Amino acid sequence: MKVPTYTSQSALSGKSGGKMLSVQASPAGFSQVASAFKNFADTTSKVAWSMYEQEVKAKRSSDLAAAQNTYDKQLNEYALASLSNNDPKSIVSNWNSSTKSSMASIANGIEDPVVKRRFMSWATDTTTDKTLGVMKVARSKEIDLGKAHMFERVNNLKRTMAEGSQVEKTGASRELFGFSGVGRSGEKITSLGIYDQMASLGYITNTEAVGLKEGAKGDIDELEVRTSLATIGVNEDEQAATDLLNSLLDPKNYSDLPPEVRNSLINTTNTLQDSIISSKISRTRQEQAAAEKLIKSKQREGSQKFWASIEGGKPINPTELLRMYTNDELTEKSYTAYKDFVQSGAWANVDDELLRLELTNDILNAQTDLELENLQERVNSSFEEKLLEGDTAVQLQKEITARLDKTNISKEKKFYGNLVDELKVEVENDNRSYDQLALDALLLSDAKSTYNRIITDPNSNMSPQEAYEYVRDLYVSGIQLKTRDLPLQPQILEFLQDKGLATNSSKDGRILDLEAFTQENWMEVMDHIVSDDIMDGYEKALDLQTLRERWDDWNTLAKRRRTKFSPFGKKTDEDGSIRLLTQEEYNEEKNEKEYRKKLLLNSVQKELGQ
Amino acid sequence: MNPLKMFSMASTAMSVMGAIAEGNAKKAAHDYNAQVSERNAKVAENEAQSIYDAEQLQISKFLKEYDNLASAQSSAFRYNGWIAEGDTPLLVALASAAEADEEVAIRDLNARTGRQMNLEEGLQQKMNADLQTMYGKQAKKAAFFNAGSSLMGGYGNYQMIKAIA
Repeated sequence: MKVPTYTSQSALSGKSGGKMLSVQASPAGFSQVASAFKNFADTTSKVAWSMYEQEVKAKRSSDLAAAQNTYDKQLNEYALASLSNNDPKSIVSNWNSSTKSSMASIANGIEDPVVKRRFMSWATDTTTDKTLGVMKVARSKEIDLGKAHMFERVNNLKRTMAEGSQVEKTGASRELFGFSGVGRSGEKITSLGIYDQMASLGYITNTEAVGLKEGAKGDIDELEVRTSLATIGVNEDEQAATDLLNSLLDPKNYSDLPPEVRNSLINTTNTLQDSIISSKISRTRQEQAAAEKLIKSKQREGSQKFWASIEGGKPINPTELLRMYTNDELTEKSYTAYKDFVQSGAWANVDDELLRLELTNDILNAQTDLELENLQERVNSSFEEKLLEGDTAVQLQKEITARLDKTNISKEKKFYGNLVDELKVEVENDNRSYDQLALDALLLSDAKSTYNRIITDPNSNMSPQEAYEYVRDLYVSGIQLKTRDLPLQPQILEFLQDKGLATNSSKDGRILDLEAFTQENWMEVMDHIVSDDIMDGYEKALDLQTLRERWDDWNTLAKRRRTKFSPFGKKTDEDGSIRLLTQEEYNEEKNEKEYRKKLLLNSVQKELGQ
Repeated sequence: MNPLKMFSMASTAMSVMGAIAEGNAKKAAHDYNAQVSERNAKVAENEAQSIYDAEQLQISKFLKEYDNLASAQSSAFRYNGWIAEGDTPLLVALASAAEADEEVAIRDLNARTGRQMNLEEGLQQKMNADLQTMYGKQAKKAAFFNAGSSLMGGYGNYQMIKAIA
């Protein structure tokens, strides 16, 4: 038997209902925007830094170039300064301190440390390179300086040989040309001459030494002749000039003189001889003129004395008049007229009224002593011709005398005459060339005679001051004329022309413009000669000597320019001392004179009107 | 300041910011994946428990069915006149019971095995979640290093230009 039962039909499921998720987020995909942004930023950064680098490079390069240019320019300036520095010892030290200071100064102005470092490195290398050149200049200058000292010694020795005593000449000759002989104990003595010493020191070559020795003999002969010329010029010794000329014309004398120098000296001696002769003639003429003037002055004084005696009521008697006439104190005509007047006691009855008025006016308007003196003679001659009464003549003479006392013309003549004498300036430690001394003496003598000729010439319209200025300018230009045709090397002349210190004209040749020179210019030109690469030692010595002589001229000129003089006259003070008037004092005095003249003229016009 | 220099520095700053943003984005992706794995782990655990519970229910059902079978067997023996509690019927009953016990043991083993397998799957998902979280953290750290690298690059460029350009 089977019993029915219920049996469950459904099967159990082992599943929970959950499902495994396979979804996954991709980190790369999720971050792609940020990643792209980063890549973009990386690229931008790379480009930007690269550009910045280029810019920094460009700026540094530009800054460095600017600093280098500045330093280069300053280095060149220092190098140039070293060329004009005369002290070789200070050249290198100056160079070192200047370059160091410049380098530091420029470096301090650079902000970028990299540029500063690069500049310092470059500047150090460049300075080192250029220092070698500067040291070379210093060394060359040291040698040149040594040479210059030697040549200066040579010049002194030459001068001693030309001017010195026999003992001095022997000593100088030994030093200059050397000596070879036997000593007291029989030993052989040899000493080198200065040229041989220069050759052994390497200053000049042996060939140059031989040439210079030969040249020195000619120079000594020339100096000797020039010394004689100077003495002749100062003493105005015509015979000595003739003797020297004859001596120069004979080639046996001064046998070491080069022909062209001999010719030049012959010409100079000839000129000097002519100048002495013309100066003597001029002086003789002056003496004659002065003698005539003296007689005329005595005669004028004689007439004044006569008129004063008439005015005083005690006329000079005929005997005294005769004595005065025989002593040249009266002209023959005056003597006859005065004697007749004294003896007869009466003269013209009536004045020539027109003549009287004319003379009165002329006396008042006379400006100079000369005019008054001429009027004095006119009054005298009018009296002699019986055109004026005795009283009228006395009155007119009195007025003339009174006016003559008031003019300063005589004082002025004397004052400016003294200034002409003072044109010659005494130069301390005078070592000017003999040419210059001779020329100075001639020019001064000429200035004096010209001044005297002008102020005594009745036809001259020049005042004493104008005459003085005229002869003074002639004297000064005479000094300048000497600088023509300078025997300097062409490159030195060009250097002088470039500096504006010399002119060149087809008419006058090369002329050194002494007025344009300063003390520094002289040093500069001499330095230029010493450091010239083209000239040899002999040429340099000659050029230096020539310039030295011109420097003496310049020194004289400069001192003469400083000579004090006053064109306004002198005044004697109460204590008796004489002093030069200032311009103000001069003007004051002049105005006072004009005022007095005006007053006098007014009073006369009133009198005439009445 | 020089405009080009400012631009260069700004672009470096942008690069730094880009690196950090990239790191953050990667971390967010990894965090998301970790959350998905966590959830999958939970699903696997639930699945394991469900399998076990279902097998236990099957065992209970089998025991109930076996009990019915044993009762029917016993009844059948009795009906046939046999003594159910001895001799052969007993041996037969014992043999059936032994079979039933074996069946229960096997089913229990299977339930446990199925549960264990899903628990293992859950564990794997959980580990994956941990791994994704760690990836996220690493991505963030990497972003800082990338940012530092950009910054150092910019600074290095500037110093190089300053020193040797």
